[in-house]
Amino acid sequence: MKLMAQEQLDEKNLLSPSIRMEHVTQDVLAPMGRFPSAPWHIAFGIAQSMILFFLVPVAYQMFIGLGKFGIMNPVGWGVYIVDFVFWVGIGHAGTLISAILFLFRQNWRTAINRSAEAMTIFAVMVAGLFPLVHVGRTWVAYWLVPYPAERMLWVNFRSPLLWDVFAVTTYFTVSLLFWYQGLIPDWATARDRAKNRFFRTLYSILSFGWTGSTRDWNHYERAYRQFAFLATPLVLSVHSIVSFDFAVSLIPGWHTTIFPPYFVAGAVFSGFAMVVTLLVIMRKLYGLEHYITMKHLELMNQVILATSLIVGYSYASEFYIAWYSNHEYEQFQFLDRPFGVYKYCFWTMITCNVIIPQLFWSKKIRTSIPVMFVISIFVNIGMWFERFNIFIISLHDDFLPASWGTYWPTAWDISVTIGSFGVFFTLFLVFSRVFPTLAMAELKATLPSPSNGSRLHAHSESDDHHGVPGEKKQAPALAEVH
Amino acid sequence: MKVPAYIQPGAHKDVVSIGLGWGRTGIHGALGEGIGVDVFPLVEATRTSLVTSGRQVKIEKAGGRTKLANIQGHNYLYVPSYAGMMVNKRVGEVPEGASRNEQGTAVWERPIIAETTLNEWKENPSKAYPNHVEQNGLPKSVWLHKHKYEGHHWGMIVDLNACNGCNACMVACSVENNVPVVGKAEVLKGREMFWIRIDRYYRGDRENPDFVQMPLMCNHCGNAPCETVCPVMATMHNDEGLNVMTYNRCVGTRYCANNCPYKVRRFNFFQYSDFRMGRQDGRERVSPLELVLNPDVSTRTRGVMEKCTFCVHRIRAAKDKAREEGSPLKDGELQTACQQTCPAKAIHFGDRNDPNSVVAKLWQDPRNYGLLEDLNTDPSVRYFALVRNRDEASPYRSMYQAHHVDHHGGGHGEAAGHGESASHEKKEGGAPAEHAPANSRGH
Repeated sequence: MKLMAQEQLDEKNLLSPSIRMEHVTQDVLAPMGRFPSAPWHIAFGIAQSMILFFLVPVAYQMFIGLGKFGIMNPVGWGVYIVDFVFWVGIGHAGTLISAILFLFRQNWRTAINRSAEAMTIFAVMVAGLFPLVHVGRTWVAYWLVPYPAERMLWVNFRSPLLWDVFAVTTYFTVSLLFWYQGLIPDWATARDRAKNRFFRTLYSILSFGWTGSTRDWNHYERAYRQFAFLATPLVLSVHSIVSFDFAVSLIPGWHTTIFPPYFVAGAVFSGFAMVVTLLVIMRKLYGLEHYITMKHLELMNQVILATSLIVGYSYASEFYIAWYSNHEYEQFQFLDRPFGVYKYCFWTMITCNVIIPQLFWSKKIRTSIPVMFVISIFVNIGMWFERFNIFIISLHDDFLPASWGTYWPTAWDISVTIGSFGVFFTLFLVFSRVFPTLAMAELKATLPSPSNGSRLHAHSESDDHHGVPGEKKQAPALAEVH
Repeated sequence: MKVPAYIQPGAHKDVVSIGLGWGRTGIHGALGEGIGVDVFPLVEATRTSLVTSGRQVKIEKAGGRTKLANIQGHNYLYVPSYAGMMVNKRVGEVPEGASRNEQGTAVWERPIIAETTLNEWKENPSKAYPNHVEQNGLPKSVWLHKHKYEGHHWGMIVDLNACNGCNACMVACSVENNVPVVGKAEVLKGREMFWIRIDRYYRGDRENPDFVQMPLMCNHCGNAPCETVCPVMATMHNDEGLNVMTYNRCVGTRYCANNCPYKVRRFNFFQYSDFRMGRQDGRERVSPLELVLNPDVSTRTRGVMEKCTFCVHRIRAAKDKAREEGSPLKDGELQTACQQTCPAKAIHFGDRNDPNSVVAKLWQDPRNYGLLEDLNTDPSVRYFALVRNRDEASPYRSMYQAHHVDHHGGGHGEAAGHGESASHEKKEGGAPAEHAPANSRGH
């Protein structure tokens, strides 16, 4: 029997053998040129309607205040912040796939990186809505930006919320630029195949006049690598900084040094689960089974399994440290989680995040599409509850028993959460219609060259349009960057 | 008449107390019809007075449940110790008939209340302190330097011996500071707005418990956790030791409230100031209810945080007056609303930098301890340990005290039963002789 590691690295398994370069262009550009199908219309209609679940409570809240939501004393942060961290976490898989896997030359990423990055950007956009609307006075939320105000007002650089502003905006900006840069050669391909003048002009502008010359590719590859290096620390920094919102406070259950790695692992975990959920649907909907193969899905499921173990270990270590610290508030907090009023939330989290992903140890299960779809949804439910546990249970019983209180989300909170999925899916469905959903240029690099049948190497010279960073060319440049 | 019953520890089983003044008819408005039950039919009017107690009534269980807008639902300092899994020492017995929240096979108390008996106090005052600060000092601080207070440095002393939990300070504070009355529905959600509250804890036997009344307002911490986390510096430390709140700058992230270990910050979830102005059913009912507002204190809009200011407007006014008169601000010229109203004189407020002020003197009293001071918040509100004048050793121990007592050969006391000596009246005047009771001092 072949070793699993060898099997994974065998790139012949990544795409169906029948795929040739011209198929890539045709298949990827086809949805952009034709009228949307009925399933897409239905999905888009549902997603659009779901946005109302977000808009109505938020609009109402602007007129009357935050009172319709469940927040109270002592739980000042409710589902809004749970949703914020949930969505920021979802975003992580995209950057991990696009940047870190790129630097590690994991070529299996090429089939999924475009949509995973799109997912990142949309998830961060959705996440960014929550801090804006969760504050009491959204109309002055721009005060969190350090701008030169005539009244000499300044922000508090000691506040983790301010770090959040920088971390999330930086992350969003870099992710967007990185994503867009990868799109440039593909826009050019679309331009060259555009059927009318309007689209030709549009794609021409979007592709920044890409000619496909060696010079273009040279700049492109360098810039792409540099963005990958820029984005890599961001994968770790964003959720670390989001976790500082909690870690640097003094509330038992928040004041924990393990939070940064724990949050990052959880973010990758939930992000990959979301990628699996989306890709399983997308490959079906757009007939991309030849590109997003079982191999890709299986590799992602292995990442989910690995991060599940890290997350499970983090849970265990939190409990251990609570016991070991002899800190009575901390100890009570960690007994209250599994046995207190929120015990169902806790055990939901453990079941979904730690127990269910263990099924992926079985190859049969991690290569079964219906099973992995269900598990990926469980993981996302579990990760939502993880944030709920951390934020709400820690706040609801802190130091003084007299100030304890029990928070439950109201229908408005749940509505906003549903609505955020509507915003996300709407953006994603629009993306899947008007953008090249697969990174064509990169995909072609993993295909056999028309001339000699070898993969990856030395065909950027042979095919300007379709060539892409080959490994041989990149290696010296990589050294330069360092 | 049908009223909800709320059985309290220590209440005599033959006694029912009901508040008068509810269940009015023919009066519209925020406090009009449909609120509470009118129990005046039970009151007997004689020629000279109303007889409101000692009436013979028959009580039956009527069934049904209702939600009580109770902001002090946690009765004991015990926390649930799920399945006996607390690793702390067992320091007492579960009170008989304790509610589910109070049960546990191992019981220990949070280090919140300093309580001791007179004899114990004379023997070793440090036994009284619930946290480890007295024994071990403050934990290592991340604050590089201490704040300097060159002018005034405001501080407050609250005497747990003197406070009898009458709630007058809460009323005074609400009236003084235009604290909105949010109504039952909001209180049920846990959104009470009081800037000062009285944390009432029971201790010991449910039939005959001890009471602890702990007035709690913003502690104006020297190292305030709320100040560091506000992204827009809407809450700041001023050079007189006040933790000041700039409502106009507040964006409403509520991070300060989350990070406050005392949970004294209050958020305006709705336009509560309209409630005070008499907005009802969507109609403005401004006049004449705006006349109840104190013009010295701004009302707060929705979406901002508010909290106790140490009556900063009174400080301001007193300083202005002193400056006009060309004399330094004298101790006693300035009182906070809660202090002014407290009938037991449990609250003292003044300048810690003035060596002759009452507060500065009381600050040196060994009974003085800070609530949760092991968090190194350096609170400007200090509490005087509860010293009860009774023979039995105090049975209440936090884990730190339990440790301490073990070292000194003391046993774990029994929580239940203090016989006659547990009556309320003993609470006052329980202070040791060498430290005169605070309520006789400085006035």
